[in-house]
Amino acid sequence: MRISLSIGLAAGLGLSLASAFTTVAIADDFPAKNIQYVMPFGPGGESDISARLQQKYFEEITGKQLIVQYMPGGGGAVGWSQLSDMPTDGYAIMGSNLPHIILKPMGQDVGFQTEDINNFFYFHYSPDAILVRNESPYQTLDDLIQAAQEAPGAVTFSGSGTYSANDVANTRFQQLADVTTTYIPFGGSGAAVTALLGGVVEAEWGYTTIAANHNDKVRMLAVASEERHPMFPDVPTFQELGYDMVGGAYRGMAVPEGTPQEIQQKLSDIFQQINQNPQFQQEMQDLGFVLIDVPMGEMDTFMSDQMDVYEASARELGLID
Amino acid sequence: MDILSHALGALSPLNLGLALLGVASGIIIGALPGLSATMAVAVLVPVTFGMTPESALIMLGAIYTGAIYGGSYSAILVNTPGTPSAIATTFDGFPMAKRGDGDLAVTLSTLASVVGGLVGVFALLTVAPLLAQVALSFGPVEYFWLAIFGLTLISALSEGSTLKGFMGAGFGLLLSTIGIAVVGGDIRYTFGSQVLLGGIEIVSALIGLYCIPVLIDLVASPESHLKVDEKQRGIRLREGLMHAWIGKFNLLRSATIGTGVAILPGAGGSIASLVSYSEARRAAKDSSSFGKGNPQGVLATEAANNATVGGGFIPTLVLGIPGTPPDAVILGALLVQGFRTGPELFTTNANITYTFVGGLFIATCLLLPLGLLIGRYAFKSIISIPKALLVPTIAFMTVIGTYAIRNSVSDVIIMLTLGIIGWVLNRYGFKPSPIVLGLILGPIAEQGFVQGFLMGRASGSYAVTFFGGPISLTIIALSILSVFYPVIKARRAQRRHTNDADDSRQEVSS
Amino acid sequence: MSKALPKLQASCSARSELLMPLLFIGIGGVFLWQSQDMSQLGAIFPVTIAIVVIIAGLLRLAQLVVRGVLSNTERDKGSTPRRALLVVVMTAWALVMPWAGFLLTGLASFVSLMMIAQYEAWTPRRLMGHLLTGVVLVAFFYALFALLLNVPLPLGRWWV
Repeated sequence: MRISLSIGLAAGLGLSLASAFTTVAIADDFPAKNIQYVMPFGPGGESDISARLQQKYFEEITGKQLIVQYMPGGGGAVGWSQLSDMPTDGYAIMGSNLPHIILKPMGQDVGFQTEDINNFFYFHYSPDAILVRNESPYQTLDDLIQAAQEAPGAVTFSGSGTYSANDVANTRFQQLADVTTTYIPFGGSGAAVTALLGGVVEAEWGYTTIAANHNDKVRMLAVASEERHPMFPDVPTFQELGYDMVGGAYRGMAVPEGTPQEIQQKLSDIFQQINQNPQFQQEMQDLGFVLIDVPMGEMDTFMSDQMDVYEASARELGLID
Repeated sequence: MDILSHALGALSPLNLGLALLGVASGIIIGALPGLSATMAVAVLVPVTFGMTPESALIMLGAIYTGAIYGGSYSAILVNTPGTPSAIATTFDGFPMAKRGDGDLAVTLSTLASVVGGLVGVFALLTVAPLLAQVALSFGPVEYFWLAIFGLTLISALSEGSTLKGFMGAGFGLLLSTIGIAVVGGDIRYTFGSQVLLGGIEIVSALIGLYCIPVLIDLVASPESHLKVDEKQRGIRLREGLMHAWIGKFNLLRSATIGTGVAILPGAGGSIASLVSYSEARRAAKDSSSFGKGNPQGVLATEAANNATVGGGFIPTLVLGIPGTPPDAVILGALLVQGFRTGPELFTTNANITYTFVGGLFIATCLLLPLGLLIGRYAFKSIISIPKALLVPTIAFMTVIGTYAIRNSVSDVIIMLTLGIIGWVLNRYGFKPSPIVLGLILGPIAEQGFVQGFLMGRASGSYAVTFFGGPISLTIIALSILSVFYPVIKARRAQRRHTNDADDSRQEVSS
Repeated sequence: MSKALPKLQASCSARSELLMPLLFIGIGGVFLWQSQDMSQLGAIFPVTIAIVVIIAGLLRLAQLVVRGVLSNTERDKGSTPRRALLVVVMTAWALVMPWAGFLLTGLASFVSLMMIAQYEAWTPRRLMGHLLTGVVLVAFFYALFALLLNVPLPLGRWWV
């Protein structure tokens, strides 16, 4: 820094930089500056939209900004593989998604291990769901299962990605219902829903959030949550219909290994506080999310439970050997 | 009358001021290579939370419009397309700048952008729901054929040998498969490197393949970067208007193509400007002057890529499916503001919709004065800055711009590597455009093909899946025409002046 | 397609014109070879493209052999050392940036590139002027990206 200063760089700039270096992260006045929130995905997805909603409340609580950055690539692998290189002062946090962080590193080297992702808070999930167009002949899940039994492989599902939440859900569904379907992976849930709306596929593996966003054009046959979603009281859960499926895409946040515990706790508290705001809760529900609260203290148990679930299903279903 | 009152609402002094600020900062951000419209919009979103929804939307639309237009500056003045949709602008824009007509090229790009932008916004306002249905009728197979059609443009774009063009495009297509595959989930061609897991980022490839070779050649000789003609200064508006008037059909055709193709999520912008460029070239009498600085080439691509702004919002607003990454950011902001896409768009949400469209309209109109002003300044600073400062400045922008795309030093290294490869290949007659075309169209072609393959297996007939739809057949016909048109045209020309010592361009299409 | 066809014009030397298709055939070969342990869905596209590249390369070779090549005698000459230096500086810049930080490497490269691109003699006044402009430009871009656009530029692992 000395050299650049001596050359005559604008003094104010240098000063603000120097102060950035010297600020030792103290949990009491954390956060003392804006926090970088890195999305391992591109803009417009569900991770992005929930971050945008959190932004507002984060600023209300802390007086600092939550700055959303995008680092897309490899279905999240690019971002997560760089998490360990990020500063450990708590001013850089990264979005963390289940089952991605468990399924991605399974069986192949994607530059990070599940354990490298140091999660401090998980705040919501969007339950898996089977969506069809409004004019689809399948009125119930049974209609669809019957069609799939009559012509194995002829019922097509769109979904987002290979070895993804949708892919796992489809494989699991095939087993539980004892049917064969054709799962067609797309580049993202946007492309997958386009395929459904355009009539390219019969059904889509999606989430309640997609149904909420396109509720004038699609309906759900079943939801993989424990209880019916308040926005869709008429849509049965898989469990009600006799299929033991509960799952979806969980979202939370992580910091690099080595971030002080107090800072992590502080971050966890802030996001828990956001989660408890009734206005935020309403906004999230309107978008089809289901809020959950997994603060730092409960993270280890939550993660190891999820690990067991996904590892078991991935192994059993042949996604890994 | 709703439309009018909301459009008038957008005209309040505060909103006008925000639009002005948005367009101006958008132009500057867009003009810097690597700084994309996506980033400009994403940075602005939290700022807009403090504003009324109307002001927020106007500002977002304005910065987006400005940024797409601003991309033409770097394309014209330093041969670097800031976004994939500005690739074709380099074809004629940079040669024009090299020979001293950079000011004219910037003026033309401004005029074309205004016309294109207005056509796009008009389509958004009037026929959005209808066009959204068209977007839905494009399934994987149609996307596959569209990508193939895009690739056939190589025969029109490659100067020199068509075979070289195909080799270059093949190279680009192979590069596009690097990383984790969307379909199949394989990790491909990373050669054990984590840097390549996420694949090659298109904008960093653009900067590498187009801008680094320019830099490398810039330091090799003491000659100035662009030819400077002392007599011609100013914005040359009259001359620009004359060219625009001559090319009025070209402008309208390109803007229509731009709007039409932009409604396809994911494929839009880059294909739109390439298609309108090759159409303009095909329609022109002096088609051989395209690629050597023909003003009509600049008009065609710039009209098309600014039409994609309005066009891209059609699937975004009507279907909730963002057409381009900046659309995705804006859609996110709309959702946060409580906006829902769908049929309420023109009923319950009409006030937000019309304000937004009104804002886009105003922003597009503001492009004219602001664009001419900032463009003139950009041109003047590029020609007056000495080489010893120009080279490090451009180099600085390429590095920081590439880094900023996803905050990754790896992308900078990939960008430099591609730049060196690009320079070597260029020297041996392999142009960057086919390579980039392959890189952009590769994922579309591959996913469309594999998805179509899976659909064919499910339905029992591959032939019906791939050749059954009317849209597929139309695109196939267009592709065949696009491949053989140069041959037919060359034959016709050959017959006209038989035995004439023809230039070596004849062998191009043989 | 008889002898009336003129010889093909090479972009550079005649020999390089023959070597380039071989290079592309080689690239196609590598991609083909590497696709062996991929899944069917993952391999089908790159294999197809690799084959197309190889065929295009072979056709080009045949075309060159049949019709003959003319070396391009008018290709531009320029200072190769300066070109090489530019590439070296920019590569070093990218490699050192995560360690030494953005500002320092940015300034150092700016000054080096300035030297490489300068053809006229340096006068003290010109040098000072250029240096000053350079610093202002670097500061401007730094402010634009780091402060206005919130890009987390590398601070440098050596100091932080």
